[in-house]
Amino acid sequence: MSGGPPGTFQSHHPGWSNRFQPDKSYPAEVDQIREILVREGPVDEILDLACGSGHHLELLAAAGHLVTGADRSAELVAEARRRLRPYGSRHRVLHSDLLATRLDRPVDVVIMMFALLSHQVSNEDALATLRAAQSQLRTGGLVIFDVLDATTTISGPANGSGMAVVAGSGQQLLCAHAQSRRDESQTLELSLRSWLIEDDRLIDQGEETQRMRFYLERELDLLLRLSGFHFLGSAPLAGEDSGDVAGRGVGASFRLVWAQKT
Amino acid sequence: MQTSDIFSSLHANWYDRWHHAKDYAAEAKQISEVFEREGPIESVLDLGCGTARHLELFAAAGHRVVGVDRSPTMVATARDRLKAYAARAEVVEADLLNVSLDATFDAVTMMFSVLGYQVTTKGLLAALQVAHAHLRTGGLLVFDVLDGAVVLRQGPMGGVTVVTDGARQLLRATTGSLRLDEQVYEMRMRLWQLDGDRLAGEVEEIHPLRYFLPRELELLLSVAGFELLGSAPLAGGQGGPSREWSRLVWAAKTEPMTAGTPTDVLTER
Repeated sequence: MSGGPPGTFQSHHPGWSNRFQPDKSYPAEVDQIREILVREGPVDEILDLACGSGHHLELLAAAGHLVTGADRSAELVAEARRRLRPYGSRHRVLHSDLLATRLDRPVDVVIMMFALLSHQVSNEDALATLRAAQSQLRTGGLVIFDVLDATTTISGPANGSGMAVVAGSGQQLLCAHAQSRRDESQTLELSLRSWLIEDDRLIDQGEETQRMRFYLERELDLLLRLSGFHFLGSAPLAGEDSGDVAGRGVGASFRLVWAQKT
Repeated sequence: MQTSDIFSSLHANWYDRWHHAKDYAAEAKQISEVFEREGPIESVLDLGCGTARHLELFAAAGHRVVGVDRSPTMVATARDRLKAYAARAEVVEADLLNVSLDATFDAVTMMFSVLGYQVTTKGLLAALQVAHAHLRTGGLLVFDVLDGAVVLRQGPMGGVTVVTDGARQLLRATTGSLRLDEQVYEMRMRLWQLDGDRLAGEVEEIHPLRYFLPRELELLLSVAGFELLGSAPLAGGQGGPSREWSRLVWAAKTEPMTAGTPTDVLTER
């Protein structure tokens, strides 16, 4: 795991596996987000709700934006602060749950990546999350987020499993996954197990189950309307060369969605 | 060739022949079981009743029934079919989106994908509002829709049906395509009627049907003042987009349409 800075592998923290995605292309995703910002802007300040360790924010800060991150994990907040330190007063990272995040001023853009909305399985939770973003935006501001796409998910195999191996610097990270699609609950169930091995020693291991909701286009439109947004567009999330869920071999892909606060 | 939105007179005249294999009895039985479980249900309003194949079975089972359809040809056939139940059956010729009867019912049904013909969210909510207005509080809404999971799993389907009646032949060719950004399965239907060696009629119809996933339906229903109670694959399933792909859904009227729903919800993009 050459690219893994210390502290990335937080197996005791719920959601760690969602944040640790060896094949995730942050530059490609941020380029795609910036194209939207150029088209729909002008944009100064960007808030990343559930920012994780700050990969997206770092690239947005490097592009000149004023950035704010919020995450409920203290470890990830600390890591994001380290990552964003070079940007001084152009950044801040808050330790707070996304539903409780309150900024002192409205922002121009809220991003919610890592398929945050797909982890909100019920309509109530999905609406609460979108409304949390809406409440921190100026009128006319943008929300940009990725979700698991129903069309590709349903067209793919219902079940699958596999192993991803990330190796380097004497360490190996083994990530085993098994997924099954539940059409009746509109979710993909992911079960993930990971082992971190250094030389010939197991130094950490973790296990986690995730349920992710997949969304259709008009369905997103309705959810956005109900939470005070006007749907602007969607496109396949950039940088997914394998078309997999986070490179885990799952036959499904993500869509980037953007909408404007009405 | 004449192009028609949906249900040209050629189609309507031959509707029951095209769908001779549709298992209305199995569907009506499945709906009756929902009525029994969630009822009591005495009166039934069928919005988009077509030729009253469902209503006939409900009337025969003792329900007081009213049907609404916008096709004069279908209404004429429906009235004829319900003649035996004249005392407790009525058919109104009207567009279901505009109909306003001065009555409420224990149950409203919208079968054979009637709801899904409303492909926009605005249209869907308008249709649900009409159903809502004609139900007593606690009344039951029962409808079938295209199950998005099945549609997307199987992909577009097409086929050919030929009905022969003496010297008359009816040919129907269907093709399907997906309009993903609109969440619509589009059925194109071409119909030819041959009387001996004469081409007596020819028409092409486009049937756009919206498909749904379960959590979206739950949300739409709650916005419209209903509580989703359950759903199951439509009984009597046969091959084809509007049959084995259909899911029966039932919901209870809970309250007036959500007060304070942003008006933007009802404005089409």
